[in-house]
Amino acid sequence: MLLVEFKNFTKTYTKEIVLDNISFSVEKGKILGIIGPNGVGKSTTLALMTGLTKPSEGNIYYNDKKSFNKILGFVPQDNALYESLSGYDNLSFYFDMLDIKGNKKEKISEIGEYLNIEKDLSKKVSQYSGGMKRKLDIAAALMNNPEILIMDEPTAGLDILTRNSIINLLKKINREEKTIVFTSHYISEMEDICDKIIFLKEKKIAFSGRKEDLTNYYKDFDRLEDLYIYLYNE
Amino acid sequence: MLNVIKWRIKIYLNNKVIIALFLIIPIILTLWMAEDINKKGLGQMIVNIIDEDVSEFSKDYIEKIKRDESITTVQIPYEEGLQEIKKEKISAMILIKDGFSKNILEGKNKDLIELVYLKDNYYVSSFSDVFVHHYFSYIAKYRNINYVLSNYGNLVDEEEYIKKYENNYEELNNSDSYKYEFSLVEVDSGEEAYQDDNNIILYRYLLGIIFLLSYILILIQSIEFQNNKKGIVKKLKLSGIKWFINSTGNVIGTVAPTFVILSTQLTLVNLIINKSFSFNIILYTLLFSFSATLITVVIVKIFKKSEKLYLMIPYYILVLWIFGDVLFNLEFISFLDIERNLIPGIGIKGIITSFIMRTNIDILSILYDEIIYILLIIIGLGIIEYKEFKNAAS
Repeated sequence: MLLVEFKNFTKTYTKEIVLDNISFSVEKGKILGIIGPNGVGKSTTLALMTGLTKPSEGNIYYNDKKSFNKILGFVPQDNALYESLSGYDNLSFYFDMLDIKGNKKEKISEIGEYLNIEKDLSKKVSQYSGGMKRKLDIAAALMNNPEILIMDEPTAGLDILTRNSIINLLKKINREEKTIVFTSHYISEMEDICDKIIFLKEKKIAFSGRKEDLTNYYKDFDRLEDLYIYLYNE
Repeated sequence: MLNVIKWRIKIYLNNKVIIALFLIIPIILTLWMAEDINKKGLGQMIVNIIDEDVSEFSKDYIEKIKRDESITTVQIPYEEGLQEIKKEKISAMILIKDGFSKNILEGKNKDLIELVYLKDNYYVSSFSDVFVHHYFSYIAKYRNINYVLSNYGNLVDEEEYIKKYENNYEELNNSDSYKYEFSLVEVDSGEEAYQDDNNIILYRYLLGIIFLLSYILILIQSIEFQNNKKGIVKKLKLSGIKWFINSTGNVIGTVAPTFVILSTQLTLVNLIINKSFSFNIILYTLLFSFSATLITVVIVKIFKKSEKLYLMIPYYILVLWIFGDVLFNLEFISFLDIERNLIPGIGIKGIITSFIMRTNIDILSILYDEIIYILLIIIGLGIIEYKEFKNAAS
């Protein structure tokens, strides 16, 4: 089932084209990865998807536009946490701001336990490691029990072990039938968990499809990393 | 909106170090100052008064000076008085010139009195002048002019004279009025400033520090206000919260604790030093806190955030520059003839002075200016907030 579909959309900022005639769709329960180097338009794609910004041209079809925001959990690229507050208070902040119903303590405790961060929730965010902050960001995005989780570079700037832990977390979230869309610089992550990968290049889609389609299409490359280097080194 | 306000205040109060630095320390300083003031007496001046006019007017004038608790009067000859000033045995000399009463009745207000004082006494031509105004100029402006003009107005019944008096009064209040009233004689002792045993400069300087800390506090709040805001704004925008609700809540939540701190400091200073409570002062403090916070948020928003405090030094300077009215002390821009009261928070120095000097200030006029400025800043801040919210994704 399609959750959202983009058809021929273009985004320009002050006459500069940021995304050019892009079409793709997001299916329910799947993991979609968007990859490409800096400045290629990954964050803009997510901003368009979430509705934070509007396309200059083209159309976006939501399965149910009215409730899309309600089923959406978003993890922005820039940390969306108050450093001076504890992890618990940050989650409490989003609980209040998102006007979530139910018992706050129970909800926070449940999410903390789910992401295995419960014991650190009493600490101030300023004492957290980069990986912990990311996990807390994801926890905040899960507060309203979203159907689709959109994340902008959730593993950026993290060491390999922490990245691996975040990827495992995404797998776990996906097992709950939640749709995940995320951007990354790391092809190995995409290879590991994505049902579908979009390669953005020069503001357009260079390739979009399943991992198997990708390797079938580019048969000369044994590893996706080599393909990544080939695509972006040209 | 209540949630936004609640969380803004919670974020603010959560930073115990800042609270300690910017609330407790100023209060301790105030208490320390108060104890010292009580021991030594605040600004107890010995003033030599020479009455050349010897009239009902001059006697009345001397009586009014004597009523001031901070002034002890003596009567010694002029030359002897000069020597005593140089030795810092007395603070100043007031020479009521011959013709004082005659000139008042004729509506003349120049050179009625000669004021002689030590050049460096109560006066610092350095950084601390940001906070310290010339002591005697305030006496002249707020006390003697009122006296001279009120006498003039009372004694002249004709309507046109009263009208003229009102015009004069207004004109004098809006200018460096002491120049019209006094011929000032500065005596140079040949020694550097800070040599006097009167602590007025120090007290005012410390009061200045309290407010300096408050300004920095406001700045830090603004940094916190900005901290990681883009990500948070994105998420709040997606949550469907309206920019107006978010911005208003943030501003109120930022202003509220600042107001509590500033009003606590001011009220304490007032109670401890002056032993009196003024509703007007509290009302003004509310407006001052509000406008000072708003302008600081605007400044930080315009110049962008920085999480490192030392990188914020230029902003401190900028804010000091604005609030400290150093701007208006720079001669090269004096041609602009800017109305100083239009700068938000500028009136706070008048209030500090009034605490110490026990002078009257036109608080309603300050409030009026402040309200106008607050409205202007709110509009500016609203535009900035709106753009920030709208462009959260770009």
